[in-house]
Amino acid sequence: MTVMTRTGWLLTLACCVPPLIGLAAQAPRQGSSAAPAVADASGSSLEALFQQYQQGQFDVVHTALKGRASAFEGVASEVEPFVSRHRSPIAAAFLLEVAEAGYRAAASGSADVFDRASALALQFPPGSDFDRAWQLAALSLMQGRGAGTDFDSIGRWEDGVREATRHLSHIANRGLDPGMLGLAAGIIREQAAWNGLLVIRTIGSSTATKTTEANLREVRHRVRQAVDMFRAAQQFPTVRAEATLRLAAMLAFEGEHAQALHVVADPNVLQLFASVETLTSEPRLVFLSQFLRGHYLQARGELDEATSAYHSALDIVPDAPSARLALGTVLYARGLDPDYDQMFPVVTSAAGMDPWATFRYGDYRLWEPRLQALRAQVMREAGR
Amino acid sequence: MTVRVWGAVVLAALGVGSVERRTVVNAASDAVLVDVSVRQGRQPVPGLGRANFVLKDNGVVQPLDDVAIESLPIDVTLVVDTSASVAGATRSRVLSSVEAVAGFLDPKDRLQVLTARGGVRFEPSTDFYRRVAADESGALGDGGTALFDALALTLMQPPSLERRHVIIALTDGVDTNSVVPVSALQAIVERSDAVVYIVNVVEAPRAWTGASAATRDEPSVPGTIFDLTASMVTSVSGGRLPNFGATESLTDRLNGVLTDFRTRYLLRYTPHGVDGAGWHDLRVEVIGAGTDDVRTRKGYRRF
Repeated sequence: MTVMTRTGWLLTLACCVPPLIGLAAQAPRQGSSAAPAVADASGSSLEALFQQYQQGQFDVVHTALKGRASAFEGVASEVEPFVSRHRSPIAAAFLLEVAEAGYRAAASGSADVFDRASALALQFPPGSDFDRAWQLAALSLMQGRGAGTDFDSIGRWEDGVREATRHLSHIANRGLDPGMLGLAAGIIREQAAWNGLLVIRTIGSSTATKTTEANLREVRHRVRQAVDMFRAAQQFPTVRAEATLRLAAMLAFEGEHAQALHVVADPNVLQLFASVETLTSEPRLVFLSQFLRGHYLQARGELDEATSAYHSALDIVPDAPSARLALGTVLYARGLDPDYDQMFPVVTSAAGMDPWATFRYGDYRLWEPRLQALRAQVMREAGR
Repeated sequence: MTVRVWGAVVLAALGVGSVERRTVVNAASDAVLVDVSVRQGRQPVPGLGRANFVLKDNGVVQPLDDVAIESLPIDVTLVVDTSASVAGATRSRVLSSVEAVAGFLDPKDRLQVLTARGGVRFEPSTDFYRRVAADESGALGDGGTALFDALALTLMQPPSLERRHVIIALTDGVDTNSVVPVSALQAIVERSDAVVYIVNVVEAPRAWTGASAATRDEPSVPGTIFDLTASMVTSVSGGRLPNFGATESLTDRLNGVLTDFRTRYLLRYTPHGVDGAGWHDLRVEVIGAGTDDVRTRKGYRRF
């Protein structure tokens, strides 16, 4: 086998076929070879894990919960007796982490755990540092659950959207920024609209995703709901820029699918994108406004303008895979030759920062820092 | 005359001293190469010559300079959906098929694997499975499927003078978050030299049109965006959306794809009576031979 050092052909067969198969069984199933070693507590009961959690052994507990994610129903079955024994804020924090551990592998069970954690957290007085940390972390997790990307789990998306909407209604009066809550409500609706749009992007083989006129009506309805929510969120100065960006993006994607959805594209999309930069200088939002504006222009065949928009996006985040690929495609379509050897490693890299990669997840991109803030509050509660 | 000689001839005509781009359909050269799949049922039809082909470029019949069965080494790009929607036994079969494809190749052929999970990833062989497993425990969702993005990236890969490029996408028919607009993808396919096959990997073959999924009492729309895009990509490039028997394994499907690609005829002609720039519509007919399936790219674009 010859492994090519150039980014392109990974092997030629002059020698032999590489042992592609079977590596999964041999390789350690962990996210990174550089990950710190942690004690194996994957067989521990929820009760035992909670004891470790109270002692601040967060990484041990996290690893154990992730290890049990594939058998999450067993974890979930322990939650009810657990909640009957533990009514503390720390228990609410612990259960939020339990819910996060299972939200991908066992969405339904995870949603139940989230509900129990939420009910417990809502019993404590609003306005405390702990309550704020818990609510912000929960808000992040909700938006991660609502962003569906898995065709076969469309029911999971719907569960996530319903769960998030319910939770937002519960926390409406707990002292969080109303603009942030309004934007979150819009993002949840945006995710519901996206989930609907995916139906028309996907082969129609599942009974859950029939491509019928009724489906299209539902998609149109969801898009309109998201649009209305973002328009409402624009009234709050704290989130006006992102609400405007997401409003423009929703209208742009609706316009891209206008033919399939039988709608008329909104004529104000470009104005909305342009206004984002007058509202904020936050690099993430400015990048997204330029990138999404480029996408919209490219879909309309306005290739010179799209090229300019993608260049502007790359001025802000030079190695964003999304914008690098998009720029390459628009140049190629114009008969120009993008520098493929330069473009390929950027586009295929998982390391580069790319605001587009987290766009649909809303505040879930903030899960890790918010989780750390919550854990800090747990330590305070535990007197450590 | 071999295809290798054709390439050298065309490069000489261009005054190009080094390998730049293979002189396939959209190169800025006088010669145009078009590969054609000719089948009767599912079997390739062998033994055809110049007299058996009628080629029209923008409606104008073109005299053929040569016809040969393709014999160049091939570059195979596998675009593999490893997202959460391809899970369990299906994923195992998909991943196994990568090894199977490697076993079908000749020593001078090359293989490249891109995965379309989240964004587009280049897969060095020994990291392939490990990374897929690592993604399972990732913190930020599964990232969805960016199949069209992966296709766009590999379609733009500069062609090699001495090789032909086939792209085989292994998919369950899902594209959730590509950034490349479908309209842009069409422009890329029109310019690219690669031939695209899109292979359905699910156990029971799915219908490739939305109509089959319609409820009994509601009208269906003609097709989803994925259906239409997959059809466009394969038909414009001259590839196929292979239709296989329910008992056929994925490995057999991929072998069939490679056989179809290897047994294509390569037609060379020098355009006469047609304008140089813009889109050139191509039509190829086979005469004097029993065939019910002639497949070639829909055309080419000159800039």
